[in-house]
Amino acid sequence: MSIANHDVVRKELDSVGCGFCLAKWTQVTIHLGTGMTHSCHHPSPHKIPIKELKRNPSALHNTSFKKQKRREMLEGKRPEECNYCWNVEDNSDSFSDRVFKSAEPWSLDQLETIKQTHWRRNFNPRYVEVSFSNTCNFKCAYCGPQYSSKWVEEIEKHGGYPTSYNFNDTTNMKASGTMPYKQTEYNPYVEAFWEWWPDLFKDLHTFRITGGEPLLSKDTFRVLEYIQHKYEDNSNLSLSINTNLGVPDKLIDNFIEIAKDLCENDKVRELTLFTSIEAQGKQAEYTRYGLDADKFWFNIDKILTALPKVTINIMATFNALSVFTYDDVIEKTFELKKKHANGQRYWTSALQLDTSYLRWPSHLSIKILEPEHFNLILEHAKKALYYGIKEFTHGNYGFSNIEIQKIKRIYDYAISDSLFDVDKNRKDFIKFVDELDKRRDTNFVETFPELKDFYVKYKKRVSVDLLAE
Amino acid sequence: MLSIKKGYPWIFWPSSICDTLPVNPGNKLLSGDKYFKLTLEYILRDSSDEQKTLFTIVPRFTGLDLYKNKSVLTVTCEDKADYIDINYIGIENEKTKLVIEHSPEVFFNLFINDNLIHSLDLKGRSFGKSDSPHLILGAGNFPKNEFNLNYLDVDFLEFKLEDETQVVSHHKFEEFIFDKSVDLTDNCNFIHKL
Repeated sequence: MSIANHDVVRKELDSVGCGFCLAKWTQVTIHLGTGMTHSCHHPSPHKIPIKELKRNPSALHNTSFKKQKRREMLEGKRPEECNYCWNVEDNSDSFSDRVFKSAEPWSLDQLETIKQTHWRRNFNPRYVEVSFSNTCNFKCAYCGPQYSSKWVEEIEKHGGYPTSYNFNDTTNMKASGTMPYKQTEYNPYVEAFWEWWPDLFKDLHTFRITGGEPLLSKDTFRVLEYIQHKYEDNSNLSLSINTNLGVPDKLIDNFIEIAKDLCENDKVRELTLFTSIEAQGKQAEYTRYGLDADKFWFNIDKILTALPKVTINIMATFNALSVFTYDDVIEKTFELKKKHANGQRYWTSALQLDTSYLRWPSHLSIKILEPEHFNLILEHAKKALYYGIKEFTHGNYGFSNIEIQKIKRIYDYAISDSLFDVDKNRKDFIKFVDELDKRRDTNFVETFPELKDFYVKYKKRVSVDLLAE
Repeated sequence: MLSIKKGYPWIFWPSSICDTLPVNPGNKLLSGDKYFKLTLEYILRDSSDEQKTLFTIVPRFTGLDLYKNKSVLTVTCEDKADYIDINYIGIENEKTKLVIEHSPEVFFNLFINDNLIHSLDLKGRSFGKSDSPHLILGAGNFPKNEFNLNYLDVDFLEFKLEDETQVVSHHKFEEFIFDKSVDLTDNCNFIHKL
């Protein structure tokens, strides 16, 4: 949609109310493992009351709490939980996400219906993201118990990490009742999902399954099989699945078999996989504990070979441990882009590299590194540029303008001024890797020899602090 | 060596792929408000009598056309284009060094084999300005435009672009990545296949 059209959308929204946003109706992320929901990723997730689910399974989205926010929007108020957008609107001329999300194709065509719908009424969302559970066979360094059962096991056994803020400690989650259900436990939220699903499915534009590791969840396969058999109720679905590509071969093969049927017989409008890696070899395996890096690339190759219409998107969370081998990630991505370019993918490229910088946990941010390391990031961006293409079309392969820019942006972020507390985070980093090595029988300095001097330097400072205490 | 065959020109337009890299795209120097010195070393491999274009700066067309018995230097300024017959005949299989030096609103000079062939006085005039100029090697236009192409066979041995203080792009055409000649300056001011 053009800028001019966004202006039109803003005026349309404002004609209802200055806080009116269609995403409160059309979009939802539901964490079934913890019973939390939020519409749009900016407001914090809130707990879904089980008693509401008993009479209305769509309360996974249509909670009383959310309906009150919709009411505020329809009555010309700005819900406080949407402050992110109000800050943008009050302090710049830019369009906020309220406008962007309302202008999405899965939102905008619902404008008139929503305007005429009473705020108490239930509404089936069009863009749904669901995590069935936190069951995962990985415990990535930047992840936590909310999203990984392996992390829950570790924290239950050893407690939080001895960083300044007790990284991944679960005391608060327990106190607020947001600890994830175990996979073996009865989960009323998952039950409600399946009760709601047949009605929800027919209205969906986009359905995305996240985790945990979705391919370890029987519910993921239940969704896939449902679509296989009931696709006539909605054959225009855009389906996305996150996966760490580190599950047993049998599960990958099962997925491929079903996906083949969905794609070859046009049972979905498109199918896209999202995965993650942000380093290579042993360094990647250290960061994404549980990963077999060779297997990861093997599985990408296998899936792109078996599914000639599917695109895989690598969501790389660039962090302090990515700096030394990200060029290998770029190299491997290019190699597979080239091998699997066939002009018939749902998306332009067979494999996309979507690089973002890690903000949390801050002790793993690239901001903790020394200036000499930042130049390596710029070199990675240059490498991607040499693998770049001017025309990002089905007939070409190579890195797109956006893919290159997003790597360059990491460098810009690294060298930018900010309020980042470097000293505190460097010390937390040392405490974190020391504890991680102890718990996981790994060896940071052996795995990252490039950071040996850095480690020694800041380890001394941590020791001095300890003596002072 | 960059060996260009008829119909397959290359281009110096490093800013055409990414909006934020290279940080200082060298092609932006090729504009009327910037000083630049461009050095090309090449060997003609084409004996035909047809009109041939060695290089072209676009969109404000400036280039060198080779004919059987003469050459024409076209320089497009802000006011008009000058078509200048010059005393140079391209000789097949002979290594040639061509230098263009532009000083904004002062001069636009052409040297061949270290001899000043033509000096265009730019006092009161300006060489053509553009936000994103680019330079085509081995053609007078983009193939997709299907006119004024004037392809030729030529081997380029060196390409060097300098501003007032430094070399911003340098190629000896020894390393190529994904149809791009690697810029020896590390500025990523590459030359790529069209």
